[in-house]
Amino acid sequence: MRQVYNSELHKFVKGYFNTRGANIVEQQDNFFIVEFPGGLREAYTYVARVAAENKDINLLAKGSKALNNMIRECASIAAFSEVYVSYNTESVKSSLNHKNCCDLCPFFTICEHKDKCCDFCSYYKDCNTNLLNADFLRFESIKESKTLNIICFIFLVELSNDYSLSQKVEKLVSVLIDMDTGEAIGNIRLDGLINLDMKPADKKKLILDEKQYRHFMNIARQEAFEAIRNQLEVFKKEIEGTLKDKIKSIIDKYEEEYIDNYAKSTLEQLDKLQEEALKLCEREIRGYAINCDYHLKNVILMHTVKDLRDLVFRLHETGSEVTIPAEIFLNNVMIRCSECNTEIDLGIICRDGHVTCKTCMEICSACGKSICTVCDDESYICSTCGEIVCTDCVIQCTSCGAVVCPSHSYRCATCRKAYCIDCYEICNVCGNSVCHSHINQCDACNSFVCSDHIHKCSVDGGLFCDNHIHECSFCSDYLCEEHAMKSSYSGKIICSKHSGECSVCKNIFTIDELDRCTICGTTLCPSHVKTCSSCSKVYCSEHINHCNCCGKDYCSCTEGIKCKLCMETYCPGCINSKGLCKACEGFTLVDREHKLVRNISELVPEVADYRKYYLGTAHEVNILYAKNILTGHLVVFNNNGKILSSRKISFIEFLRRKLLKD
Amino acid sequence: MRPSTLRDKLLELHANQEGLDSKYNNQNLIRCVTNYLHKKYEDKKIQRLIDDMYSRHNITEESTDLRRRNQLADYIDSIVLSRIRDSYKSSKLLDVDSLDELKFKALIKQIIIHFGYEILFIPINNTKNIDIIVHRKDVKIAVLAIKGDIGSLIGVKTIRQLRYIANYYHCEQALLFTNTYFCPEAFSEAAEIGVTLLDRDKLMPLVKDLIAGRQQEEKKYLLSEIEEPKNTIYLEGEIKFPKTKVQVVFVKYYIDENTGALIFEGKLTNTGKKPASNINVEIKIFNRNNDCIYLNNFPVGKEKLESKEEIAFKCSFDEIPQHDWENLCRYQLKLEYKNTYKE
Repeated sequence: MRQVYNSELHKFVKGYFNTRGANIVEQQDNFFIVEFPGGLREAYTYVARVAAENKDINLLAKGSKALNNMIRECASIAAFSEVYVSYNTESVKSSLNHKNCCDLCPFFTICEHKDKCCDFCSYYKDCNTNLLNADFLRFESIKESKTLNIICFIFLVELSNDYSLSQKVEKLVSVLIDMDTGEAIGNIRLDGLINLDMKPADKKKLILDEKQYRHFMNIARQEAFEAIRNQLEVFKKEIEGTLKDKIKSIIDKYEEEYIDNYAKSTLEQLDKLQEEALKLCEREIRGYAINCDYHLKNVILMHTVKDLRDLVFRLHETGSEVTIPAEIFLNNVMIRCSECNTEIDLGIICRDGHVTCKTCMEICSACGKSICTVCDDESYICSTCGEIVCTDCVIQCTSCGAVVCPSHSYRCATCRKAYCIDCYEICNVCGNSVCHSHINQCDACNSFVCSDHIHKCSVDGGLFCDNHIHECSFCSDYLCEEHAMKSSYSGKIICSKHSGECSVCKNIFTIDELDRCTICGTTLCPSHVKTCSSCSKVYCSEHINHCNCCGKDYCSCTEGIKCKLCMETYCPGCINSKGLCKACEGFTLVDREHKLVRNISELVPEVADYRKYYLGTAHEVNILYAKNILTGHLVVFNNNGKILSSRKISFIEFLRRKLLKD
Repeated sequence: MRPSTLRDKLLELHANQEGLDSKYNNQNLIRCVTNYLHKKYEDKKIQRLIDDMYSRHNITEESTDLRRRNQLADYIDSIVLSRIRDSYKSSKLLDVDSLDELKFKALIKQIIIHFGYEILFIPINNTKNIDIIVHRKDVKIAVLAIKGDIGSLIGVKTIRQLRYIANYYHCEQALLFTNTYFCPEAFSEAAEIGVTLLDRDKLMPLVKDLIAGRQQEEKKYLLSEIEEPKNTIYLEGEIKFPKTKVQVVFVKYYIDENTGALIFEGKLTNTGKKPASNINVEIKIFNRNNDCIYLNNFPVGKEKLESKEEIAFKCSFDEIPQHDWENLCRYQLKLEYKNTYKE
């Protein structure tokens, strides 16, 4: 137990009793007795066994009721500590990172994007020192150092609107006060303190009397209020809308009532009504009042330094090291712009070690290289997009000399030179960029096309794009729409040299589609040319015979034979050994109501009077024989119903011709 | 400060139109790019530009961020209004220095509104731009507010840049507010190029007026009447200077009452740290069909322009007949020069 009396726990307990005005009057091996103001005495022990054996002795151990009460009581008043704080490489590194949003930001509760701290927060500049193109490496020599004794008050601020909206915002606000000057230094991000080196003070170095403490406390409260003020405004604005709506509805309701009662009420009653409305409004406003409570959570006495020191950074671009002077205080690193001397929140370092802030910095839009205004680096403005470009990336238009960035310089597909937006065109066919010297324009559609997609008409020499040019399928000459011809048979495109006209239908055909009649030499298209089925010579329709029986053509090389019954001429293949054609050979008895019989009866009325009908058909020819007992009528007609011949023939004659051989 | 880039314009369009088709086949996008380029190009060319912008930048995401900023800007306005109210209630002057940059800009906006200026346009992406464009009595005014560190001075460079941006937006006047002071050279420069400077001493009475709801300091500090010339002509302007070192501080055009000629006057400055030589100014005047109908190409008075040095230029178009004035639509000023940086 004696060892316990030298422990941190006993020091804390002793400190607690001292602040309460109590004294340890008796200290035994296993327990000690404390006398409180007013003479009340209580016994305490750190040994559980002793407390268990004697109910009058309170146990002070982890989780015990007495110790918990002490801790709670201390926490509600504030914890007080004294430390030596110093920065280190890690703390500086983390200070140079872009911070995430924290609850110090007045817009923290309403902002939709809480991922990255932005300059809308009043603390943005204090919290952020970010160099875009360099990483911190190490410390260099200290140029100036100032020892500071700081008292840091940490408040838990609660903003709430419990009555009507049940909104509550809690945030920790820290206020730093220089104990030597009594001036507030500012706020600090509490999470930034984690990386700092902290050592407990060996012995109390600073003597802080209550009067001085109260003075600092008042300053801290004032500063905390200032810090929370913006948040209050945001909070107010948030509930303003709802409150306005409520007040408006109350006023509207009472106005209606006032109008209704105006004629039938006394002045006193109307005044009462107005007062009632006013009271309701006031109550509503009171309901929406925002409570702002400050709870002091912690007080830290910090012994630290504010150094003006060189920091070494490595540039991303070149990998070279540059030295930058910076002011370092706790977790805050302050670097000034070499151009305008303001403290930077976002900046870049040039290769010569000049730091420029976001207002002064220029970054090449093409390569991302920093263009230092202090070094007087050359920079250009792209005449198309207005972005800044460095000397290495700038491109000058070959034609007009305009300055452009690489993204807005267009290389001609033909000459490979760079041009600006004014001096190039886009090929309508392939989409390539082409300069004005190498661009062509289609005579038909006026669109711009590159040399690969422009063609010269072989007839009139006009220039046409792929969409308006045709190629002769024989000689591959280019033809414009005016001079290109299309075969009516195959649809092939042909020039005038390789086209011809059918003398029958007068349509245009390719020369290989046309034939000449063997006899008269007229030009004939595939639709109008006739070919002899025996000798394969071609003829016009006038100089070839057509066999209706088989549908084949035959020329003078083959002699036609007359059928002895129907007397029509057919090719030799269609006449049998009896001298009959295929139609006459195959007569079949048909009904009077047969469609063909009825049609023929209309054309040849005398046929209608016969009793029996025989019909023979072969390819394109039909033969109808109508008969009575002795008389008969033979009609020859084609498939279109055209009568080719019609004559009377007796049944005996019919039988003789059909059955007997000559 | 730089004029808006094509990317800024597209971001602005996206931020203003939440439902804009992200597949960027929207006619609005084509119109936006055409307006930015001041020239009608084939749709294919515009589409190629749009495709390029979308492939290099995440416009949709960036515009969401801009929209968020706009949404938060309302809260900033409300915070500043509340500070003004608090100041009125407590009869204490508003501590301008305690405001951060955004709140300071919001305060200037409230002052501008309080004194009856009408807001015409607020650039959405104003990180390197002016803050507001207002108008009053048919005068278009560019407003810029700079929250400086106490004790710092605003230099000539900022004033020239403001004038340059004001020219870009075709503003006749420019107002520059600051919570600090200007360097002595700034006043002469500002008077010459039509920029009204309001330093801490002039700003505070305006803030007092704003808090008290008065407008008595307005004439003293803010308004300056503009003389209306008899013969007026309006030309849309475009300044092209491929390199960034030599800048046009200002350019103005007017019809000379005696000769009836169209005069262009301006001033150039070498913002670089090395001299620039062979400076040539080319002014083209276009008609409504976008054809260049008049051209004047002339060297400036000095062969070599040293660092930070200024030079004035003037050129006259005598040959334009009066009946042709109404056909004139646009002018383009182009700077050509040689940098001695590499030598």
